[in-house]
Amino acid sequence: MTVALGVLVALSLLGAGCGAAATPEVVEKEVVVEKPVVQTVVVEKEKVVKETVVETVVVEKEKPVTVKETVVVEKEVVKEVEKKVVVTATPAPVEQVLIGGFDVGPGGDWMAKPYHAGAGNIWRSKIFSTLVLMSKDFTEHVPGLAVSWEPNDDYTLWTFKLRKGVKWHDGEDFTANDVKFTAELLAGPDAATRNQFVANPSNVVGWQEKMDGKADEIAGIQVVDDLTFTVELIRPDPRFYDNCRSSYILPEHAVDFTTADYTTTDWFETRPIGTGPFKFLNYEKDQYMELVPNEYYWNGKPKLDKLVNRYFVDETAAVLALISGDIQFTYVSGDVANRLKDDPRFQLFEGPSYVSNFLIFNHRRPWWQDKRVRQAVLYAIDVPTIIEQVYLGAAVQIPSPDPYPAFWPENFNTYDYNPDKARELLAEAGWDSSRQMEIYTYYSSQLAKDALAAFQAYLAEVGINAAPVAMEPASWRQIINSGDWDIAYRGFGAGPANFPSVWYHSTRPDRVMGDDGVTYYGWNLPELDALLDAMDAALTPEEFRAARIAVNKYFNEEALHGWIWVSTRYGIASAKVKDFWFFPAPGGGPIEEHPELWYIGE
Amino acid sequence: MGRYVLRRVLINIPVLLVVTMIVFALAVLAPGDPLDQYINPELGTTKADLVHLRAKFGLDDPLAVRYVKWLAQTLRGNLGYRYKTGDPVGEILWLRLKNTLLLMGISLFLGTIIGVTLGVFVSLRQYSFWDFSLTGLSFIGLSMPAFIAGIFGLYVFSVRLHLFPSGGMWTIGKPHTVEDLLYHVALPACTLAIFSLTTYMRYTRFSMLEVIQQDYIRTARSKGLKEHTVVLRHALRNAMLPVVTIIGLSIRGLVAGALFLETIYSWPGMGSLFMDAVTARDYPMIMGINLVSAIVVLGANLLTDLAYSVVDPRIRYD
Repeated sequence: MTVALGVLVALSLLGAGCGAAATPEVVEKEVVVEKPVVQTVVVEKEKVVKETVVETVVVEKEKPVTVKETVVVEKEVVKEVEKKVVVTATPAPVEQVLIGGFDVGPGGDWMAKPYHAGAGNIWRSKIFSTLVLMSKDFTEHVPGLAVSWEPNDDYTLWTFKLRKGVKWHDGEDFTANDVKFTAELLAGPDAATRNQFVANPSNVVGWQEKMDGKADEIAGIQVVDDLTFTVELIRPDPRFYDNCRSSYILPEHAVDFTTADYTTTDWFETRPIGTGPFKFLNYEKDQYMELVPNEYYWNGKPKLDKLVNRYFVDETAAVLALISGDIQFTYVSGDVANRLKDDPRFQLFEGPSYVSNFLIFNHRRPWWQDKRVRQAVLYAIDVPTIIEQVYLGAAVQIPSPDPYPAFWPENFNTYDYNPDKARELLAEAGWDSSRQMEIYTYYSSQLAKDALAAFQAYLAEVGINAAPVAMEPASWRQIINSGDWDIAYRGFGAGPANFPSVWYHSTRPDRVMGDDGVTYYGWNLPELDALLDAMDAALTPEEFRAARIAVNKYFNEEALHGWIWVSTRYGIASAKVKDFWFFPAPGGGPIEEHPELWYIGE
Repeated sequence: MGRYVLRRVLINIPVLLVVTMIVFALAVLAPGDPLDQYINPELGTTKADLVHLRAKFGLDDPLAVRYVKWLAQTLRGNLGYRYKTGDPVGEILWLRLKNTLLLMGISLFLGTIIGVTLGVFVSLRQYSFWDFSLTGLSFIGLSMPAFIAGIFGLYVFSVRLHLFPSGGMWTIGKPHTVEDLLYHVALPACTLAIFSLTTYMRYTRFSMLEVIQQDYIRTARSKGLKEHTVVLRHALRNAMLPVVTIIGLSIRGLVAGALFLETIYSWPGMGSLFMDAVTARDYPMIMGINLVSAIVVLGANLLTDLAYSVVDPRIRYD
């Protein structure tokens, strides 16, 4: 009797669930469909800029530039005929709603609030726009809200031209005043966020005065006319445009909070106004955000009727939602990508993470000051084999901390697996094989654990005892900042026009951490400092490239750290989503991905 | 009784203070810095920036000063803002608490009703087919990691059978209705209920078996009482005491949430919030969560003690 009751309760609950689960009715109809299909073709071609078209040229000094311009050609394609049985019917329009886990994975951050976190650009850039964008593969700077940027002769004054015809989501015109407003909104003695309008803001004339409350405006940012503004710099910066790729512009007429309230305002999740392709509709805190098309978008109204970001704490949950059809896109890790790549229901997007992973050595320890010991670590680990067997090929070996192959020296030393040579070098250096070390890391994925276990085994082979210890990032950073550690495993990001030398320079005043006179990693190498200074001072792209290669050559030869790889990252979208683009750019971009062209096909 | 409750509440106030003090000290002394997330070398975060932020958040004050500041602010009903997101702590707590109470409440309810019922059922049929199979199955329930159970549930009922949604609380783009909420809560709540019901079933079974052998049960039977009166009024009521203790201890879970299942079912509850706050060293949020948890635990202990007197008339509080 009692069990019958229990079973009844359980069944009725299950039944209630089933009843509520209104599975979409699928009626198979055999129809003849005759419809002209308008297909959108995106053609990339070398720069063809007409006089009448808004110029999209990146001008870099002393260099004839060819810029890839995306031209959208709409053309009518042949009539598509499907014939089965003669029953004529109009095909039901496909619901143009795209739901994705846009903040799953390392590029994600749940807050669509600009200037708050380094990551999260994938979603943020759907609502707000930046001055400068990165190309779809994250290798070049392309126009965002600014269509051109030109320096003066000594690279201390940059003139930005803005795109014509850009409107805010509420129909107001976007002008250069909004740019100046945004820069000044973020700066002040009571500034709530330290992520500023541009990277390295202290180089902008008048920024420090505004920060200190000694000035009401940033003197170095001047509005010339509605579509032109200038930025004056204290020191020359030949690559200042790179500092503007996270410069999201906010509307002067619609922002109703102050500098001090920037982080605590609810404006960003209740009434944000941007210039991006989609505008805000609804936000369910920590669950999802719904966007609808911005009818004023400069490149045309988006094709989707709704774009939704669903928040997932866990990648597995997102993958299950993707497979069940509840969402149409998510970031996935390598093993999932491998499993789903041949599944016709999905399309795979992949690219380098542009984050280098390597073993860092604490040069405060005397044994790491010996180049032979550092090189022995590299000779001891068979990186290509680990890439092949653990990462299933989804990583590329690196010569230095630089994740960009364009800046790698030719024929760099790959330190091919050679345990005998490693032992020899260690013997020469008088290595004490009874020394026990711990490899601290904040990477917690299974893949990282497997890789670290492999490092441990390879190192043990040659008499280096290093046991991996995984911890959460806060504790990791505390230990590394304390300077009391032997060896650790970390990631390091860089951009195509930006290699953060602050990490490796012994004396630069603005370096992030490190005791006086040494770097974060405890070394003091005047030779490297000079190479880094030369790189930062390089004027033309060619000079910059040559200087950056020289830096990498030094890193490679000296084996300052144990350079390992740049891993590949993946995203998976439903095959029904057309003209979609995802690239695993660091922090999610922002990149030129044209979400206004995405649509859901059959 | 009234005086007893009042005395207990008054004793709980210093206990609560000590708990918040300890948690505050532990949170602050744990390695890591809430400013870590603001360090972005690519954007040129400098030491000066960190000094500014440190001052803004009052992170340089001595531990005791920071605690008193927090307490003074909290007593005025202001729990502060999250370091990580800037969200008001009180609002977020209320939002997450509602979600967790719903999920955990339903699962605790199901777990208790089904668990106790099954416990009584098998205790009356010791060493029968039902006893062996249900006790055996309960081992699976007890030993299965929550994360695996969650993934399994999601895979079978959502991905394969399409009976339930793949997590979340609401159908995106649809108006919020009770039906929609039940549709979303059913799968995570049932998964969670499996864990509690197996525990309650085993406790009830064990406790019942012990009581049934007592003399007064034989007396009741020999008086000619009906079997269900013997079981429900004489045996079950006496057997419930340890079960009530266990259920009382589970009440804590009503606000603590279930980290793994909330994570896998994308249920925005307290478990995942706490994890997020601790990872980011988000002290205001950590303290907010702990305050609520401490109050609930103290309250639940009081309620459990009061429930004893209902279940066992020999227990009296004066």
